[in-house]
Amino acid sequence: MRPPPFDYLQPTTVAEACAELARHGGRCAVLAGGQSLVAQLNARLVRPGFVLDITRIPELKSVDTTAAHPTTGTGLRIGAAVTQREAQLGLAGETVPVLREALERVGHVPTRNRGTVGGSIAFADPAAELPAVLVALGGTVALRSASGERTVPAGEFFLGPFRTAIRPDELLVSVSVPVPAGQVWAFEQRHFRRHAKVSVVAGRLDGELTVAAAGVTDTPVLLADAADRFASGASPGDGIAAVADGVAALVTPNADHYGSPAYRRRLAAAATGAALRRVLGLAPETEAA
Amino acid sequence: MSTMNGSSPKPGARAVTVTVNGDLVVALVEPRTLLVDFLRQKAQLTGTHTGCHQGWCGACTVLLDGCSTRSCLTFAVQADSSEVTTIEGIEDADGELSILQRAFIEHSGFQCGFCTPGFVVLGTEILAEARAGTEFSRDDLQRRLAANICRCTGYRGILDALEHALAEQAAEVTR
Repeated sequence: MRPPPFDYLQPTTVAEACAELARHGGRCAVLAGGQSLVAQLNARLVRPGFVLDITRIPELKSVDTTAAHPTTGTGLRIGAAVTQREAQLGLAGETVPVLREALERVGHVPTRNRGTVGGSIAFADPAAELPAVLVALGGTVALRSASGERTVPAGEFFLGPFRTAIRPDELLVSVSVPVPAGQVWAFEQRHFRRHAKVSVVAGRLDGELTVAAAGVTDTPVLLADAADRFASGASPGDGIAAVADGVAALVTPNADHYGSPAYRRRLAAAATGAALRRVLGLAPETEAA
Repeated sequence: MSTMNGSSPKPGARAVTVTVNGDLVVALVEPRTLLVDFLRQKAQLTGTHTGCHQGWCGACTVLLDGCSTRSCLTFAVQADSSEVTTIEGIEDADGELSILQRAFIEHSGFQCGFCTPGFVVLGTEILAEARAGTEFSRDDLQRRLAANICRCTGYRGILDALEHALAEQAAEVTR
C-alpha cells in the first residue's frame, strides 16, 4: 500500500506553521520524523488533506539545557524536530540520563535516526517509553498556535490511547523536563519479544519516591501512593513488593492485544522491582525468565 | 550523471534532487512518493527492497546523509538536497566488494537474499561508527541487528559476518 494523495506544506518558521494549522486545522497532519505517521499513511489509516513538514524549521531543532522551568528553576527543553538519536547521544541524554536509558528502548537505530522526541510524545502510544519519562519527571509540553503559546503539564497532556491535549490549530513546539540536582532515576522495561511492553520509571529525592508506568493502561500513569506503599513495608524488600503490587494493580484489560492482563501485571511488578532496587541502591534480584 | 525520469507530472508534483551514490538524480514526484519508490523507480536502483511499508522489516534501509533510514517511512520530498547511499553504493571506490559484503559471502550471511541489502546497509553504518571509535560487543551487535528482520532466520551468519568485518576493519586501521 502507498499513501493517499495530500498537499505538502513545508514552512520554515513556527509562525508560518501555525498559520497553516489555523487555516487547515483538523485536516492537517504534522510530519516530523514520520516513523509513526508515514506508517499510518502507508496503511491508509489516516487520510489528511495536508501534511505539514516541520523539519525545515530551525527553531524546532534546538536543545536547551539551561531553559527556565516553572517548578525547579532549570530545565531541559527539547525542540519538536530533535531526533531521538540526537537526544540519546547528545546533550539531552547527558543532562537527563534516564531519558537516554528510555531512548535506548525506543524503536531501533534506523527509526531513532528519523523519529523525534516530540513526535513520540504527540503520538501518545500508551506503551511508548518517552511519555512515561515525561510523566515521571513532571515534564511539560509547549503548544503554540496563531493566538499564542500555552504550557501543559504531562499529567494533563495524555487524554487516552493516541489522544492528547493538542488542539487542531496547535503545534507541539517543545517538551521540557526539570533538571533537579541529587535526584536518582531508573528506567526499566519488561516485554515479550518487544510486544506487551511495560516500562517503569522510578525516582528518589530525599527519600521521596516517584513511580510512573507505561503499557499498563490507556495513558502513562503515576502511582499516586508510591511513597506510602514503600513506607508500609517492614523491610525495603517488603516496601518494594508493596509498590510493585500497586503498579500491577494499575493494569487494565485491553491496553493492547499482545499480552493478557495477568501476564502484564507480572511484567509490571518485575519492572517496578528492578527500577526501585536501582534507585534504592540495592542489588538486582534474580527474575524468572 | 543527471537523470530526469518520470511520465506526465501529477498535480502537486515537485522536482526533487537527491545525490544517490554520488550521482545527482532529479525527478518530478508527488509529495506522497516514498523514498524507496523514488530510488527504485526514478533512480532505477532496485537493490533497495521494499517489504512491509511499516518500518518493521528494514529491507528498505538506506543511508540518508550517513544515517540508516527506513526509506519506506520517508518521503522523497524529505530527502530533497540530501545524500543517499543504497546497496549499489556500498562497494569500495575501486569497485571491489566492501569488507562487509565479502564477510557476508564468507560467513553465509544470507539465504534467500531479500533482507540482505538492508542488513548490509545497517552493518555499514555500524562499521562507520566503529571507525569513529565506538566499540561493539557481540551483544551490542545483536541488539543493533534486531532493527531488521531475516525471515529465513539466518541471523547467526549475519552476526558472524558483521563481527568478522569489524575485526578485519580494525586490523586494517592498525596496519
